[in-house]
Amino acid sequence: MNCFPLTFFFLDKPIDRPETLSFTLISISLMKIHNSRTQRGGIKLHKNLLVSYVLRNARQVYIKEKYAEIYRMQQYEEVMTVCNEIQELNPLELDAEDTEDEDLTRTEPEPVYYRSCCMEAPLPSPCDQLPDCCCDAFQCAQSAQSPAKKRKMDFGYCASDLDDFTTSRKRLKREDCLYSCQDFTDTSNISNLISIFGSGFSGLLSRQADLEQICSKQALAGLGAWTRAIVAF
Amino acid sequence: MQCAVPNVFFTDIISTVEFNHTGELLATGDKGGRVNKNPPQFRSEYNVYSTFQSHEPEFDYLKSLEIEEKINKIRWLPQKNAAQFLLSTNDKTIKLWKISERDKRPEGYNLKEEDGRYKDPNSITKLQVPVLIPMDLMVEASPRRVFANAHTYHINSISVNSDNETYLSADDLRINLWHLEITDRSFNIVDIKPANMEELTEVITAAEFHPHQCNTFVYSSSKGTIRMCDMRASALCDKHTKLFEEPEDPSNRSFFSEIISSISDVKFSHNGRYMMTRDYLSVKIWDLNMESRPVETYQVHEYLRSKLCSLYENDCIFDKFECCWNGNDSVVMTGSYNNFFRMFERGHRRDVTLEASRENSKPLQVLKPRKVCAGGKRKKDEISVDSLDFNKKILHTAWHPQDNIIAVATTNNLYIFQDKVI
Repeated sequence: MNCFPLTFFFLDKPIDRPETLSFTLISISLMKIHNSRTQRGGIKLHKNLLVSYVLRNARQVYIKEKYAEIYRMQQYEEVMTVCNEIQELNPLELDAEDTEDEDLTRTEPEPVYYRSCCMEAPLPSPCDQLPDCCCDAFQCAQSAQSPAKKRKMDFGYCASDLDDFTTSRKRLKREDCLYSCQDFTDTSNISNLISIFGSGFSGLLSRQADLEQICSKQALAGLGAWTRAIVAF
Repeated sequence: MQCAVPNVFFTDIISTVEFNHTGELLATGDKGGRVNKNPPQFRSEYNVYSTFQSHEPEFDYLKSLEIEEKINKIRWLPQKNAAQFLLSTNDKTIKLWKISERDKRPEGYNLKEEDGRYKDPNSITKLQVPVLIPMDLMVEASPRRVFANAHTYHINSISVNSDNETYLSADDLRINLWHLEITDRSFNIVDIKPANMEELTEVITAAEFHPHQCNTFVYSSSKGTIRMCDMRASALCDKHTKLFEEPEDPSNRSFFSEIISSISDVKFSHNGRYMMTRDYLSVKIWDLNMESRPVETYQVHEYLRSKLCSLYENDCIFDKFECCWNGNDSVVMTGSYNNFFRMFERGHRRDVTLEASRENSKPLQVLKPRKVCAGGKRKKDEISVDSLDFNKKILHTAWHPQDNIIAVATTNNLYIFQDKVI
């Protein structure tokens, strides 16, 4: 992406996904708000108001993407559960199917047997061709309900995916444990930002009410890192 | 445009530039609280004429905040007599300065020696009439009025009314009306502070009186709107007479939409029929009779739209560019990065990018138009977007009220350019 000649030292992967960009912007925005407390001349109301808008926009995108990711994981989990149940019902056919699947793995990634339960047609999304501009990334995240991701269809791929999924779930869980007492729905953290410079976060607060209706606690718990940054004030 | 004169160097960052009403004088304010006056020795050459310390750093003990001495705005008053008057403001206090020249001094006092000591009355034997003798020109700046303690938030604008008696000062949330002779009282005419600060959604970014209608003023907001108010309608002008707003293009929506739509400057045309606004990427001309959209829009540096993330991180996206009209309102000018400044010729829909730099500032050298390569193959003499120096920015520009002479302020230097036909 040609709009990032900067060095993001806390990122170890290219910023090519909307939620990564939004997380970066959240961090940068919070740092700006923090630094404004000590700058000469006092807190600049105008600048901090604008930073709060970026913070709000990034947060909206981040939460939406997180929710979408959790939703995809949950769907995948359900699908895998059904697949496993089906598999258990036909143990005698499993060996033959495994062999068949291994063959298919080499030649085709989509096993015929599991197609009906594992496959889910990826929804068309403009993010298929993610441009190199943050404007497009923003709009991508805004519009995509479930951005196209490569679906691993056969059982072999499913296993590796399951590992990745398990890892990410563990990460989410760890953060959840660390910050279980930090209920993200608690507005006190947001209010702390307000008290810093007396500015408004009405956009954040009202938006949060909307998002609470659609976001599971799991999605919100995944934002532990950001919550930690807020508490750092 | 061609460059006429050597640069005028400053030791501090220039924060404002303003010609007086005749163009004879050019005032600049800097971050150190100093105001410099530059009159021309001969046409098109300005040298530093006088410098005085307008504001000093202060400390608000109640809020434990330091108040910067940086001059935010300078506005000249129309000249009434031999002396010049100007208003200068920092974040909290506005001062009225009288600037006068003295080129003669009295000599031959009866009661005082030449060095000022009083004579012994017994030694006085005759009476003489003091005479005025020429002396080296001395410029005196004396504070005549101090308008303080009226603004809770940072002052961003001052504007002298066409009645030459009142002026307004605007901070982030309020606009106050002052009388030039009265310092202990001001009238609040706009207040957008919400009852609950958590509901704050916009701030005032600039304000200006109409050049001819003493009852009319406008103020711009961080949301990209401009409100025109009529002081005859009510004492408190919270309700606007006109609201100028252009709907946002949804295809351009991004994380930074609110930032780049914030208006950094608003200026009436000299004829009072139009006003110009500057936001981060564009200049817009509005007809005062049409509120729905601007009549003209000029893209200053559209190639920066894909760089907003970087510009947000290095704080450049918060830069407040000013804009100005030429004397007959046919050309508008504004600054950009890499010490570039842009001129847009309204009638002919032409624009040019010029650079204020030491290399281009040899006397009588014609400035070469510059071009930024936004993408694709870079042609010769073009500069690529990635090569732009964002530390070199031109935020403040001024145009002589009658002639084609412009003042362009880079970070530390003031450049004067003139059109070659003069």
